[in-house]
Amino acid sequence: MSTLSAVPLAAPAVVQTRQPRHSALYLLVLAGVFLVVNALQVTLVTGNPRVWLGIATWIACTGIGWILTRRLLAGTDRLIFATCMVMSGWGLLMIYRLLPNFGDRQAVWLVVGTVAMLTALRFPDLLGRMRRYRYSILLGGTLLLLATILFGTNPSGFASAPALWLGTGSVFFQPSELLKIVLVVFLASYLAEQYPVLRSAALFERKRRLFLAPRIAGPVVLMWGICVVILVWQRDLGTAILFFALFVCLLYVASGSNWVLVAAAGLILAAGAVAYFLFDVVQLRVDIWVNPWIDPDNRAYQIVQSLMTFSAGGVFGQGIGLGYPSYVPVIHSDFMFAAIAEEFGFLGVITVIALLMVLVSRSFRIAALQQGKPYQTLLAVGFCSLIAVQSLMIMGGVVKIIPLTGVTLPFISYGGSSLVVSFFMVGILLRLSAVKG
Amino acid sequence: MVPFARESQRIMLAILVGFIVIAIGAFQWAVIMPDSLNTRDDNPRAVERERRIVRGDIYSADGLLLAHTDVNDAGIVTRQYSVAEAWPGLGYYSMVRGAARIEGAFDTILRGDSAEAALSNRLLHTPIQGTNIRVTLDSAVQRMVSERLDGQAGAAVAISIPDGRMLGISSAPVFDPNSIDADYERLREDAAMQLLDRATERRYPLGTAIQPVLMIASLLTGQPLDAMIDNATEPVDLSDALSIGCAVRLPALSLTLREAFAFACPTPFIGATNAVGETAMNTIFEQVDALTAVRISGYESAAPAAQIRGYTPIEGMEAVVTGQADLTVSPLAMAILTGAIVNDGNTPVPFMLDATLAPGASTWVHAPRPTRTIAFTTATTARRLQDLMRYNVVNGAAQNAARPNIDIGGHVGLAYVDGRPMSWFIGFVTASGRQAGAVAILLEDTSDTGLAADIGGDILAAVHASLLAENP
Repeated sequence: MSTLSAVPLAAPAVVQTRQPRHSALYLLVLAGVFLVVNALQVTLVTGNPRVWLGIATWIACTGIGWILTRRLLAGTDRLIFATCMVMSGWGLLMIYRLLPNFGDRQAVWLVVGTVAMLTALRFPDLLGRMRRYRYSILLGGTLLLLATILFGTNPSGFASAPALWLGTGSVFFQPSELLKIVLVVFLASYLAEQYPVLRSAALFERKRRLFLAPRIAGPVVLMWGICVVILVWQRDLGTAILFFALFVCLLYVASGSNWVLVAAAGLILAAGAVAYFLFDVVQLRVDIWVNPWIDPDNRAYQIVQSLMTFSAGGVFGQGIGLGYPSYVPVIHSDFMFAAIAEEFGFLGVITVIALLMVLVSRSFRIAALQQGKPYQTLLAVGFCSLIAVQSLMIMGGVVKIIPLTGVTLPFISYGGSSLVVSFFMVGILLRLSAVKG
Repeated sequence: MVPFARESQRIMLAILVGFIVIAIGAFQWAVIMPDSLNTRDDNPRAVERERRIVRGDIYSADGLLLAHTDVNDAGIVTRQYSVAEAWPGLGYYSMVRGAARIEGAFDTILRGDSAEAALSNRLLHTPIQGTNIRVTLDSAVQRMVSERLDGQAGAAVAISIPDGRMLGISSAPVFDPNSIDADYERLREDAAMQLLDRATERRYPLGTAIQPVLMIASLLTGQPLDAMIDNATEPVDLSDALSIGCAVRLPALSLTLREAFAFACPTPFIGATNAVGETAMNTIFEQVDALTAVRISGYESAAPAAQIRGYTPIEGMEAVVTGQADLTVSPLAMAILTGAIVNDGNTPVPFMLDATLAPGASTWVHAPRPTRTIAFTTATTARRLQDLMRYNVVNGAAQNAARPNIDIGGHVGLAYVDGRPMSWFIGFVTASGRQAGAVAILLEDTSDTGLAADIGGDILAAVHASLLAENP
């Protein structure tokens, strides 16, 4: 009997999931009231009524999304949709408060994101197509990465800023965001096929040494290569770590081996040590994480100002428009969590964390629903892990629990590529939520 | 167990634990130790808060608005000082440079540092509104003090006796507090030391203005005032090139101690001081030491007490009787000394804060006043010295201080700092009842004690008018 057949495919089972129909609706109504009240305050404080355009856009997207998700696909997880809309609305509000000129652009991206979500929800045989064309998708992603290395630019125009964008004029997008979907789709479909091998006893057998086979070692080398390219050429520490974490999560789930986690931890520490001495950006971020107080006005200015937003916000916050979060450089992107901490206080912080926890737990519940469907399970785990790890990375950096990594806070931070990709991932999660095992 | 379920669950739990850890981290900065960051000097939010504090207004005793705060549409405040005569007394407030003199002494009150204001600001985001204060400065006296010191370098202090109200104070040259941020560096480097409050923070040698102290010792020990002393007008040599003589040019004369005091001639005091003896001199100097420690109530930045070395009868006698020894005092201390003389030997404790008006209140609340006095000498001695000082104004070197129909006593003195002459005038004026005023003038780089006396006379006349206006 072959060892490969020792791992049985699970028999489909029914997992009961309660649909919190009214909870989602109540959450959205509450969020609407919250946004309107705060938009009123933003208008009073800044004297700029443009925020209402954003609120109107959010209401329209939420309303249309609410109706169409039900009509396009019955049984979708409404709470996931609601939490994403609440966070995107809050983010939009904060962007109008911090950078009113960017607010309109983010509102447009919200519309595009909603369309992307609905497309992912209803596109015919989307999951099957993605699985079938995984190599083409991977090739496309790799070419995109290559194009970024060759032709990348930065919308800010600063020569020293990392060139992570492609685009021209006033329209840019960040290929690494698209690469997230590519990698999850590729790894999920690939590992869904290979997981029996990964879980087999023959993997490390002396004679066969399956772990050295290209089909097993290939993705490991590929992911390592992508991470190294992103780190070395693009100096994008955050994305490199994020992709590596995604890979570890999916490999762990597929293989079921604790050694994956141990090896990953060892690799991260070893890579961190090497990167510390090789890359200035890594050294800087580790140094200011260990002790930001030695250079609070220069190298550690950003993290020190970020921590000050929390202390300034206290429990209840300064109130929207009444704090000074703009002292934190790039507040609208990487440090939106800090802006919320200052103006909405610890209560706002807890609310954001609670929303993310709801999103994560509901998403893993969707993964659990896909019993007997490894590809779908890994897709759900992948997208969910991506959103969660990205959130943990930036929030942990902002409160100085881990070194800073320049990634956005999903749904909340400014950034069209991030928002559209996040909504697309949610669209797939919603699609999966409607397919009960 | 279905494949992936256990692993997925573990990843989810790890992620949820991660979120909880972040919540704990945020809790630490936001709730447990916010003050460690909020109170840091480099926290720009502290600056922003400061920029929005509406400091209280400052009024003179007679209701003239001396300083107020303008608020622009963005809520940013600007401190305005509209009465130029009050600038030397008011000092300055700057978000960058801090606060000095009245602005500095009563900063806590003016910026509204109360628990209620902080709570209201924290919860309701109401701008912090400081408390208005009314100071004891009399606008007429202050105007006279400032006008007469215009163009000079020096200081003048006027105190109401016996209550100790500061009626006028000035330090010249004067700077414009409205442009303190722009001018600060220049002022700091300026040789004229405009930022220095000469009235309270700078100490000068007394020179022959020490004679009232020596005279008190002489009176207490029964030294004869009317015995003739030969060569009384001879100057006392301080060095090869420097000597101190009488305040006015006099030919070689024999004078009594009373007359020597009237013309501030130092030589006769050598004998008198020797006759007084070491013990008595040390006692009186210790009393002056205690007196120089008196500061304006609420002024934390006033000059430290003068350091006095013990009186030595053999060595440095010339330095002692010419006030060029270790004893140095501020003009404020000299005004207090004069106050003790006119207050029958009891030193008043000066104060500047008259009343406060809290935000939203309509009634001024009187600030607590210092009630203690310090016994400096006996009432009899003080009154005898008052008479001697009246004599100075009528017949002596302080004649320029005389004003018609006003009871004025005074004394002038000459001192040197690094070879540069300084002119002193101390004087008093009496009004109705026990009401009186005491004044001290110090002019730098001039030996014209007559000018000091003239300025003193004008200020005393203004004080007299002010006191009469209060109690006709």
